[in-house]
Amino acid sequence: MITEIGSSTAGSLLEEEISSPASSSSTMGENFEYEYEDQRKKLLAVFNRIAAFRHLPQGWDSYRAPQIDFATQSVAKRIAKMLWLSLGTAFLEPFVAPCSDGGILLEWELPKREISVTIGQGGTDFEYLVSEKATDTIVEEGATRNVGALVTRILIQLI
Amino acid sequence: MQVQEVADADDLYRRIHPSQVKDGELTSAAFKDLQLSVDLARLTTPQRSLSRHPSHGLASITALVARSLGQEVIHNPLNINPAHALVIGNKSLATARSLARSATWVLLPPND
Repeated sequence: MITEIGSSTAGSLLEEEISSPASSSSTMGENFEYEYEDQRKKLLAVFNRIAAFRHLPQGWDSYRAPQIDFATQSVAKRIAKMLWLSLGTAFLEPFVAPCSDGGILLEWELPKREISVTIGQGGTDFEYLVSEKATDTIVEEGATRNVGALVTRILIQLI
Repeated sequence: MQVQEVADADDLYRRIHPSQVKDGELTSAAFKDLQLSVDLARLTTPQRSLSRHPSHGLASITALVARSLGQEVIHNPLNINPAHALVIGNKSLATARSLARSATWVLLPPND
């Protein structure tokens, strides 16, 4: 289970700025430049998919789904960016989907495991689930309000 | 409109937005709702359930599976939709995922 440490805020996210995961690319070789550009595109693709949710109107799921609010979108981007900064070239694009309760689902498929995360409406509550792909067995699940603790749990699985 | 008993064997239709489908598979995103609206299959048809929402797909779950996951399933007829029912209860990510895993496609979204 994820332990509760504190609460998260979405306000500090630099929405459009994507800085390099390395301190300085000028000292790196050409290969790094290519890899960095490739990874940057992956993060931008995730950002764009999340940003597209702003076009979903009230009731977009054909029922009563609320709009995916800005705070929820911001936190989803923040999580993606924190993972991108930590993983560098090992960054994996998650599947991203709007939830019918106004949240956002992020999912990563690894060779043997699947990691699912939901960001609740408003971007303050998170759920986390890891399952074995072959058996569909749940390996770990939890809930937290701390985005740092959540990202740590994801990183443990991704690294 | 008479409220009917929902049997465990009843199938329940849920419309699925295309963004909630991953490689043709249903995801938990479509089942994350405290009061999940569905249609009682025996009181409607797939075509009728999708009639005003042609860009959506249609999936089916059973009342038994929902109840086995701690959900309450009740018929909740509306003037515009007498087949309307609700799957009520807190749906953790694991519960929503189990509902998605148990669901079967009745009609895929047109673009999928």
